[in-house]
Amino acid sequence: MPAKKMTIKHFNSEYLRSFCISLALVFFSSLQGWSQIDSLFTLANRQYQQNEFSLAAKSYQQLTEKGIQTPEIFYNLGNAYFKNGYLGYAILNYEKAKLLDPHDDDIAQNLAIANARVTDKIDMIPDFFIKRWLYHLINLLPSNTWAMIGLVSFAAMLAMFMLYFFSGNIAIKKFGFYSTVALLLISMLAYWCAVKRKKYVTENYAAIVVEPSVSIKSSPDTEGNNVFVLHEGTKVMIIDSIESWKEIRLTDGNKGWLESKAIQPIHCCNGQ
Amino acid sequence: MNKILKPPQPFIRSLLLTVVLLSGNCALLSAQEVQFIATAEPRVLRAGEQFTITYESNQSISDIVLPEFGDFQYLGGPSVSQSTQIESSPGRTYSKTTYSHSYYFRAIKEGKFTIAPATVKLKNKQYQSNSITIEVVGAGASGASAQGQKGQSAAVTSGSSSDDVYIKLIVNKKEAYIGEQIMATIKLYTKLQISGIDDRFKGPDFTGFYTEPIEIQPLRKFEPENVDGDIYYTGVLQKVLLIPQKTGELAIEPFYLDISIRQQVKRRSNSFFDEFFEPSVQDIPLKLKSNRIVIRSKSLPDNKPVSFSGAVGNFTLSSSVDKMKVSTNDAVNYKVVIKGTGNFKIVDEPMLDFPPDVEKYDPVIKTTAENPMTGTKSFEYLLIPHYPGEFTIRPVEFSFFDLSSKTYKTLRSQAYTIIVEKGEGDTLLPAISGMAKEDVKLLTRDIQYIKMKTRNLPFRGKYLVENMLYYLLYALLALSCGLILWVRRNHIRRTSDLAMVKNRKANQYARRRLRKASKLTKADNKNEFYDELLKAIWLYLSDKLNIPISDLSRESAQSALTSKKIKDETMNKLFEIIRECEFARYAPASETVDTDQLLEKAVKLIVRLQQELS
Repeated sequence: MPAKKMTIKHFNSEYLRSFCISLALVFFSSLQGWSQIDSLFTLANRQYQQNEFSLAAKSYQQLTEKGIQTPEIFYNLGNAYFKNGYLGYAILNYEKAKLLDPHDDDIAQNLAIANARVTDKIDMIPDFFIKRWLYHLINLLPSNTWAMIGLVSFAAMLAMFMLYFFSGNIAIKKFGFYSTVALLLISMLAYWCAVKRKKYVTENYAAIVVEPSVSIKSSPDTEGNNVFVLHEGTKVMIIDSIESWKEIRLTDGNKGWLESKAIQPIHCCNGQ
Repeated sequence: MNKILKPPQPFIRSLLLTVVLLSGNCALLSAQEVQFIATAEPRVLRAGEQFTITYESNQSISDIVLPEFGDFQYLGGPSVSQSTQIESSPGRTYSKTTYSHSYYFRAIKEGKFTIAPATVKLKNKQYQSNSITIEVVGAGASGASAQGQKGQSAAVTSGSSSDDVYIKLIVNKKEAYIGEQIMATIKLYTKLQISGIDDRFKGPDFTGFYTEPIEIQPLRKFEPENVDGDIYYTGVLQKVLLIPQKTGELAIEPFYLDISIRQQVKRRSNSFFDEFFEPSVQDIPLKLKSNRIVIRSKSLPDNKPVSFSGAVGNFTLSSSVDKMKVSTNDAVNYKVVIKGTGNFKIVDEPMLDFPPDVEKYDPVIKTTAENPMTGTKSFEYLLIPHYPGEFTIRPVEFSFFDLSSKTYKTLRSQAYTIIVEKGEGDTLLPAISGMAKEDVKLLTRDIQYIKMKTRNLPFRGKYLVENMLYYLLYALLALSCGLILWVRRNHIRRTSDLAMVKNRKANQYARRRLRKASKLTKADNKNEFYDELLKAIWLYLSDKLNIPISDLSRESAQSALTSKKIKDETMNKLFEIIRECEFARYAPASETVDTDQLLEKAVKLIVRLQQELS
């Protein structure tokens, strides 16, 4: 028994320590590196203003490769690619920006303009309305905000439960009971949203075709029959992968295989 | 190229039919442009040897004004000849007459001499020939005969290369960028008479290069060439354009060529017939080994422009459209031409962005080469606008690596705006199917400008839902709540237990007090029971209220009980029991009072009093 107790204690202290260190690191690096990042961002903006779109794209790309992934950087990168004629990469980066900030008008508008230029017009089978609502609900707030709501409503639920338990007054008891149940449901929903939102940002299965034209095969090899052809900028869902091949599904339900390099997945390293 | 390979002897030139005419027939081709060409044969020779300068024309010429030939000894001439060549191909026949004047000279001094053009007057017009360069080398010590090819006396043993015959691979540069063209020439040098060359000769192995063979005319005649003061007869076997495909030192390993040389055989026999019937020459096979060449290939700089697709050299870009104003569903030809020196053949189709409601056909791509290094590549697009209005062909961008400045250069073509008018009877066809109205609206709009500010760096740690602390907080909250509940609950239980014990004790106490009375309930003597019950109650009150039994009365008990804050209800019950007992005791007539019930009432009363007093 004592041994077990000790390991738990050890683990906790270890974890706490690493947590604190990582927190401190992030804090300092953000203090130290921010000016450098800021200047790179300013440089990229200036390049864009001088119509040096390929240079600007390179600079923004550098920022994102450093892990600086804010919706604004993705959005500007998308603009630079768009001006350069890389429709696929433009849409990819607009989608990433939208992933991090689903409520920005500029992002939504530029994405729509870019999508209008995509050659492939694929019918969308609209989702069931509940699924649509849940999607909007999940994307309403960042993952960590949802997590905090979950925690706070959990605490409130416990308080209400105690109120129910200790109160002598029947009316207060009743109120306590119903709010306990309601808060429990809210807490569970908020936690579910936090998990879903995080998965949505980091493990998205959507991808964008970045090669000008790509043949979709019936099987994962170059000898496979061509099923159909997709063009730059089309959104696909990745459903399976074998070696350097990915099976994809379109929004209209068509399926096929293509080589991994022809598409780029829409996901970010973080973004809460 | 054609000129070099043209056999200089005019008499054997005809391909189909040569008619040598003795008398002039000059007016035949007078309408033709006048040609006046000077040639020298041979162009490279030793001092003391003779050479011929021939002036050729397609017109009858007479008065040639010769330039100065001060450096040479005049031997003879002019010898005038005329040849007519009649060529017939299906459908037409034409003849060509050449008049030539030959002069004979002997070279005296060594050096390189340029013979100035000669002039001729034809129909009151002056014509100038080209100038010729003659190279004279010193009379060699080798003792080789003046006629080179013909009179070869040096004996060669079969098998290997010698100084007199060798093969050489010549490249025009030894350092090149990837994609840069290198001209490689395989040349045979000989002083001997060559009777045969292996026709299966494939050339060297150019590993690491993209090769592009250049068509040359088959080798018919060797040309004299001055090699370090010695005359060799040379012939080009192969010409190849090499384009390095990877960086580093690329070696072209030596290769072999089988040839045979013809040698005169000296015979001992003096018989005339021997000489007549036996061949006096002999062919000796030889295997020639070439030199080894190393080419250093450099990679192109990294800052490649977006539109760069591997073109290296020097190019120009031009574009054109055939009309600026069309009606709907009429075709517009749009042509992009890339012209220049370099690897123009690999130039990709430029990235073009035509408006989506203009139908575009795949371009017709034409590659024309002026020479192996220079040429043009053109892309011709057929565009069919389906909607009236204006459409713009945006500028095309083309990038190449400029070898002279060693930088990338980007060329931009012109933009064209083409006005499309509605054609008669044309129905408007949608260019792209499945396009919604909003899409069309969006196509004409430009994207929103970039954002100048970015939000602060988001927290780069884990998500809360991935963080152990987050779950620990949950556990902590639940635990603390549980703890509060447990503590409160325990407290309640303890306090309620105390009350129960007290209650039980009071009950026992009351029953003990009423033990005698309870025994008497079974007895027939009810009076004793009532006496006993009363006594017990009064004694209890006396004990509890600390009032001596003698002083105890209903009034004193009541005031004492009131001071002890006993409830009126309890007091009433007490006095009711007392009254009932007394009533039953002194009015025995009424037997209706149940003793058991009364006893139970008394017990309850005492328990109650006990609780209220404590």
